[in-house]
Amino acid sequence: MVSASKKRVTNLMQEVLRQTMDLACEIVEKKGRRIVVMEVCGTHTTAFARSGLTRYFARVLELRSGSGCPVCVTHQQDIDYIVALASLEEVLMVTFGDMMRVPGSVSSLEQAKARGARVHLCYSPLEALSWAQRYPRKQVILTGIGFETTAPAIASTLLEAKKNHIDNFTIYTTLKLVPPALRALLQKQSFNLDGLILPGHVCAVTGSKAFDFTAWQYGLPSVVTGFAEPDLLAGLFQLLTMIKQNEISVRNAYPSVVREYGNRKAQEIVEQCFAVTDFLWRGFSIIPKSGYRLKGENSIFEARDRFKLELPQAGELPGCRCGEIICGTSSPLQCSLFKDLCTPSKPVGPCMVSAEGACNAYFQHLAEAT
Amino acid sequence: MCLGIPMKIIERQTPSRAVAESLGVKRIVCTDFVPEVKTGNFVLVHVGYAMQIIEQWEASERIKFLEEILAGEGAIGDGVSK
Repeated sequence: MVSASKKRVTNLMQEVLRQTMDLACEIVEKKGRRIVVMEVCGTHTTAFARSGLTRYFARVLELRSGSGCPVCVTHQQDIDYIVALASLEEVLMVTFGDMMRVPGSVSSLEQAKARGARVHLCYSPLEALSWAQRYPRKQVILTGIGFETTAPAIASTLLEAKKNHIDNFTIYTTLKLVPPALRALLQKQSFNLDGLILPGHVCAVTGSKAFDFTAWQYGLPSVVTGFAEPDLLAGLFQLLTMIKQNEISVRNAYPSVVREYGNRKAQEIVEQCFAVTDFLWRGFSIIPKSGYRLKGENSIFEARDRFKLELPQAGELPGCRCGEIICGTSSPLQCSLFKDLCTPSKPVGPCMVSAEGACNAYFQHLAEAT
Repeated sequence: MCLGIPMKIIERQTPSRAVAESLGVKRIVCTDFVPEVKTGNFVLVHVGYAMQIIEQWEASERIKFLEEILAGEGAIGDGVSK
């Protein structure tokens, strides 16, 4: 039995959907072209595709993926280093699942594991410490990958390692910051862009204020929103309202989770462990002040420093357009490898591997429409 | 990677650990970033860490929110205007 209030929510959602489509049609008529909105976060790319909203609005609205998939933006050089580290006899590598199948220049972590490397998936970075305590003669390396959402958890894990004197533990730090990459993307943007959907869970840590620059510096209406269908639709409705009214601001459509100034406690733990540094991104090259490195006495926990390896320069993946897709300058459909030579079961580039990658989202949810 | 799962805190174990539950699945989560969290609160959990206390919306609040945005009320806008 559906309660009256749930029925009311459903009816209101249908009304929001109808009005969002009306708004989109009005804007398209005025502009004489489709509306282009970038969803900065890879989780949004997948959520919109899975919800059916990407397809529902396709005639009037192009949802373009940005640089918000951490696995996708990890440079080939870092992938190669991580695979080489995992292949060392004394190393036990602990990683989030998305990293396993990302192709390196020579091999993926999954292939290294098949050759005998010890690679373990984790749900939480704290599991790396359990592995380190269980195997004191092994060197446990955690792949520290992610954005502002994940950085506090990696920092907290490091503090736990220090507190418990776990010395056979290091982190391969490739943590990145979304705002500098978004600035880099908007500076070299060569396509129409009418608004931004900002990453809800990054903003849970940073606060929505961290993205005010998208409005005042780049003149883009922007909405922070969540990932459930009502959040996606409410965010889209608000963004189109702003585009129609030429309201240049940042709105928070995820107020149950996102505060203006984020989570100060998480920010403090990050500041205690990391310093901001220039970082190498796939698709962008080096972006100033766009990543974290371990600072001060914490730097003894950096895997790159404990295990200095000389590796050949990482090459491009032949034919792969992940770099352009990350920057929003190409769609997965423009890649000649998409769907035929590059699939989730046999990925060529990281955007097809990760569940948050644009190519994977297109393949899983939109491919038959192409 | 930025997935967050809403979970309910059902038991505080230590100052930095709590048992959280979602859809019948229980997990120990680290509460370092939300030290003020209490049993009964809902939190957003990312990679085993409670990242934020969620203001739990009842259906009535969802209705209010949707009615507000349909009415074009800018109550939730907190950004800058040019």
